[in-house]
Amino acid sequence: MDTQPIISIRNLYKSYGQKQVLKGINLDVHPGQIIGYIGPNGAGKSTTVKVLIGLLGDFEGDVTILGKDLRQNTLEIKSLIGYIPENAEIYDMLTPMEYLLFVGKLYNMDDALIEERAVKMLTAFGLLNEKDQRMDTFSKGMRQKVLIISGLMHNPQIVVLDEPLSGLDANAVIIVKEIMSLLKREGKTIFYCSHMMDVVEKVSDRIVLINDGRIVADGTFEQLRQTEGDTLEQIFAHLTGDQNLSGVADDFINALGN
Amino acid sequence: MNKLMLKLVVLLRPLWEKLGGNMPQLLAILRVKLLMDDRRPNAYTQMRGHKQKKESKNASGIVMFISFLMGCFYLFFFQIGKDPLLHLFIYCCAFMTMLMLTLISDFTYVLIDVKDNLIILPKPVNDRTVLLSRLLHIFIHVSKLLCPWRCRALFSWAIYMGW
Repeated sequence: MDTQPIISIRNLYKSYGQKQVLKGINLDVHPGQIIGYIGPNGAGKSTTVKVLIGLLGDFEGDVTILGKDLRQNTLEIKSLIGYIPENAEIYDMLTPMEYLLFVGKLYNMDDALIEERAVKMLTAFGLLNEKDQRMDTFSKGMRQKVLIISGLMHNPQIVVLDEPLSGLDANAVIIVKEIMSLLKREGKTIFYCSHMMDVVEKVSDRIVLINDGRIVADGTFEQLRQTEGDTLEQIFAHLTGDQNLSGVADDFINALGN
Repeated sequence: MNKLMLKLVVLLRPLWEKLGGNMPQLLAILRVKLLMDDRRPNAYTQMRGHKQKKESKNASGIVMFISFLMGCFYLFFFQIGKDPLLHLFIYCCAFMTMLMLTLISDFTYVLIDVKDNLIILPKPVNDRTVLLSRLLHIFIHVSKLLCPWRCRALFSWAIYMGW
């Protein structure tokens, strides 16, 4: 691809105290791609995401987004990125409408525009009747929907999704997948972190697998399939599991017996 | 009440902007924080029984009223002994103790909210604005407690001194 990469990560290192979490990540992401970012627990997925959205400043290496250095233009870059966090953290004393108005204001949006978009998006997710109810009574899925809206409302160039489908019902999952493909058609870049292999397999154009702070596989699903295995799950287990997984399960159950 | 507080904040707008805050964002954060304070069941309103049939809408109003009552009770200290300095000393001690206890319980989940890290920080808000919003929130929160608390005693003291 000859287009300029929208996200470019060079030699990214990050350690928490003594523990090195990211050990030299190099990644170029081109506009209009959906990147499936997968890896086992503790491999450094969320850390990469936090670096990308500008939450962690003390990393080593260079991260350039739209040709701008992340460290110098943090605010500008933050306003281009829509982030949907994994755990539904939200001010649950507010109503969805108030929350969205608050988020929109932080993105320096116009009140009327926020309201218009919020109402339309809430309607799409079927939350219009609840728009003036407090979110402490909401289920996890409903909160997740509000979070998705708040992440996309300012029309970001790059969308970072960290396990966005957790808690959503089947209909909402279909809607979100559809939204992702529409966003892609508009030329937005989507960075998708998940553990659900079947979803990643279907939606992503390119799959990046990291293990222990390093990228171990990078390519389209077809490319990965040729080299490793038939399904993404098998590829994943092959590349990251260092032992026989069913043996581990046996050991686990045997621990109860003794 | 909250509107009044926010208007007071707006009055000092040049100051906040000089300190590096972004005014619309600062106001948005403060408005949301104060709104949440009003709705959150707090130490005083929780005491009225476990089941809350109605969602608390004006919790901070109730807190202000209760702290006014407390301030009235504290007038009791002016009845001990005859030395005005002693009166003021005891009053001040009691005042500080109550303030400390209230703040410890409030600081844990009202003023230092860990959710802020995940909600506000990914947004394009500069650090100064976040800092200012925290400080102003704490200031408003404390003054909401203190103003009604001490007003009764101030009033009595003024009469006592013959102003």
